[in-house]
Amino acid sequence: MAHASAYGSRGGSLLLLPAIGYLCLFFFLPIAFLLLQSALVPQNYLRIFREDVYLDVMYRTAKMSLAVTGVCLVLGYPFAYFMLTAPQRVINVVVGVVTLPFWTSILVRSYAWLVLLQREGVVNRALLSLGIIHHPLKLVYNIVGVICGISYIMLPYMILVLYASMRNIDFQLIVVARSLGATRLRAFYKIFVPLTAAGVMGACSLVFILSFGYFITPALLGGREQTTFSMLIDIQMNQLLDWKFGATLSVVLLLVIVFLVLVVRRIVRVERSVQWIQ
Amino acid sequence: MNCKFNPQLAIARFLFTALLACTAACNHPQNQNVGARELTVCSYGGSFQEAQRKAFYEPFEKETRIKVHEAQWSGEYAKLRAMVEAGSPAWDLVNGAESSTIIRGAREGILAPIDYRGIDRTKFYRGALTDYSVAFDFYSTVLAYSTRTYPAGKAHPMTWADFWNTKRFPGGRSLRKDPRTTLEFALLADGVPIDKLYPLDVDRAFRSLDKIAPSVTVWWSSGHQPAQLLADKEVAFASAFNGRIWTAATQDKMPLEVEWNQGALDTDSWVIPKGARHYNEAMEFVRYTCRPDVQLRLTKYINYGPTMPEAYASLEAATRAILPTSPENRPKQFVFDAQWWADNEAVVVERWNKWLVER
Repeated sequence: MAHASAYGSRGGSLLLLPAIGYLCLFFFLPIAFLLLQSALVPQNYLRIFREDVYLDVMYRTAKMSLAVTGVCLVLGYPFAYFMLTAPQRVINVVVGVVTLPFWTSILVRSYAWLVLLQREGVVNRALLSLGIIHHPLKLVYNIVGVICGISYIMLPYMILVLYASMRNIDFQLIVVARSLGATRLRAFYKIFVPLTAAGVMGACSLVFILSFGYFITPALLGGREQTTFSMLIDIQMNQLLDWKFGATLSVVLLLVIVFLVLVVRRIVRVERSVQWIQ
Repeated sequence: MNCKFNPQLAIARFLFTALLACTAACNHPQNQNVGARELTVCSYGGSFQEAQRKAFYEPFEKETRIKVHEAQWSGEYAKLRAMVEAGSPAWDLVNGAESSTIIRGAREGILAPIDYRGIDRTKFYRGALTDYSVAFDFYSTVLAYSTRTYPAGKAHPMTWADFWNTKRFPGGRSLRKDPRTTLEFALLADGVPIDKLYPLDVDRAFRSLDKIAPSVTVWWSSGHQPAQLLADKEVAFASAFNGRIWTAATQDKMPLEVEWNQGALDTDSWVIPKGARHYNEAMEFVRYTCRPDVQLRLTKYINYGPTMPEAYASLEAATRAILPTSPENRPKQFVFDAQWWADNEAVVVERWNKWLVER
């Protein structure tokens, strides 16, 4: 035991050094630099409020991220629940399927959606030949394409986080509920669903935050209205070369996300303590 | 005690050695390239870069044994400037398509002057050479359409006013996500005579763009997009680089055609970023493409016209006819005013981006 603690406390923490060094060099230092750049022209912060476009796009990005989170939750929750009840052999296969998209370049995946959703794409052709529609639907270069493209990329995060939280649930509670006369459905939504609330909040906030900073997929699959906040940053950095204002926009995006994380954490904590009391 | 394994010391030693190795490697990058001559050329990707590879890069490598690495951009001036200002541009030679980029680049001091030793300046069309750039082809941004919906004989859009006329010519549109040439087209659509385009009436151009914007399905950013969008019937009409449509039609057998009328004629030039690590190799490459026999080779792979009269003269009549600079095509187009854009680009680009997002 003494041995373990000696290694665990000092030798072990030294093992963290490479990662910490890496983070300092490539994460904290650039962020400090970003803050500094944005602080050089403080009036830029006012500019964000003076011109409608920035808050407008921020709002639009939030709306899009919310839609993506909703779609992921609706698709991911039943999926994670299925994984919970499936035999180990099936789970291995299913986890493989869920994580499969991670092995492909995000660019390739976005272009694949283009092939599926365009006017003469697979989806439209199938629907046309089945006689379900008579004119091709507009599925891409608009909000539909963006939600499809991002949800699909975010779905594994949602499923894996939900699955992890669902696994910690004590199934005896459901057995008890059933034995006390609850129907299957009642036991599910009275016992199981509330127990997953923290997991749902965690998964949703992860997906929402990741979508909020998204860039490449909305750029490829969206139209003019699907400009995201990170695209505005790109325009400042890459086209207008106003790095200071780009830094200001980045800092604002960062602050909004940190604020959201704090809010979510608070809600989850309250949720947990309420559960505890009950 | 001494021989006891001390993990902290071991890790510290390891880190220290690793750090030393890193700094050593970073400090002497040139040591790794002794003997091997190379350069990195940045162009616009797709079928254009492929044509350049076959016409220039590969034969150049064979002749000089200088290895050509390729890179790709979409003419984002700020990217080039940021690279030069950071002190070590990743590119040794850049294909600057918008000639305004060159004027701006020279003015803002981000380009290295061209070494004209070994290049006969009299053998070029007037205006093809500047102190900082060597033009190697003429290209045009034109109106493109599908011959499946508009086969020969059926009236297709002939002007930008037709392009703007969504009642007479229904279907989605695609325009370049870049104000350069797009503002010109907007003004032509609004009835500005082709010889009175410049100086551009920017307000009027944006008002005209307001009218077409709802019908623009895709704002393209990469040169290969218009051909694909047209072939996939995602849009009915698009502005496009003439060579991209031609390669798609001839090599990929897509049913596409261009309308030369009211096209925007401009040049592709080589520029060398200031601080380029392989300036000499880049200059050797530029000199190579200044040989008429080399320059005309490009027309085999893409229909962009040579900038040397001698190269043009030795082309077959059939090849000449498909170039933007042919006697038949040339008078239908206007020449892109690089000077106006160099003077106004920064302001207009900012307004353009805002317009694009706000509508």
